[in-house]
Amino acid sequence: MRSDRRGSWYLLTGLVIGIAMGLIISWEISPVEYVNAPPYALRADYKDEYRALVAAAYQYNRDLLRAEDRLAQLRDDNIIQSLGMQAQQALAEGHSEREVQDLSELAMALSKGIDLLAPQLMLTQPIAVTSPTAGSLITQAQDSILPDQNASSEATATAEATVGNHEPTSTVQPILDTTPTTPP
Amino acid sequence: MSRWTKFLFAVLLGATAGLFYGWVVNPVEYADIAPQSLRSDYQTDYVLMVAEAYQVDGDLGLAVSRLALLDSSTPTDIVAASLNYGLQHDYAPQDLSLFQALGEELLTWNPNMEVPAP
Repeated sequence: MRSDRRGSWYLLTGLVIGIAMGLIISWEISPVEYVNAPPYALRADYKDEYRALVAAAYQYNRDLLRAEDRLAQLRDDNIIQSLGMQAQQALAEGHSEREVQDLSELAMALSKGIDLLAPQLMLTQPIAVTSPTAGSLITQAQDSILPDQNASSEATATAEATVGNHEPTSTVQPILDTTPTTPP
Repeated sequence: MSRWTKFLFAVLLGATAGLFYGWVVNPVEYADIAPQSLRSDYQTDYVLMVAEAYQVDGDLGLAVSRLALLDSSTPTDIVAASLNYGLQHDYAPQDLSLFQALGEELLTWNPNMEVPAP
């Protein structure tokens, strides 16, 4: 009877030792390496950098869908609010005025759904940015975002619904006439 | 089967269970990764954003500092790798042109000519 109990315990001991070894190997010695990580796993400051870069790129391509797609990769609860908050933070921390403006303009564009309606118009009627100060841009963005979050969401949804299956026409013009080739 | 064999079998079973739990069920989560760990397509899109932003601000130093977050290799190599990726994955010609334009600008970039920050 006593020897049977001993048999059970040593098996359990072996199992526990094995599990401990497995966890040490998998968590400490050779943990899973994320080499193909998505943007939402980025550190907070890199996410800020990413958002600023999306906003800066938007200044060039004016492709709101592309900007929205890129920002969606960060999986923010509210993309527009994140942009607005980052713009405020950038302003408070003395970042460049361009960065603040870019963030604010993108937040406003997303909240109003502009550009989505008729991307072709951008070729002949580019959005006029009348060089407002960063502060006024943020105020405008807040006015359009904060008072009625649902309304802005609906506006965006309506704009997206209006676009429907429309394939966005890129307004980006090729810079070089030559066929792209791989640099040496 | 001897007692030692059973014991080693139990250890092996436990290790398998532990590895499965640690690698599959509850792996280590890297919530604060750097851009260099991004997947290739995200990295390429990051470089594309840098190229697009450069067309607006014309600040090559800023573009280089942004690219430096991605990789420790030279900015030109990073852009060239992105251009190759874009060519292989049928990126739009205007996007490829942006890579090319940035790459060509970077060929002329000399870090020693950058004005040091005060």
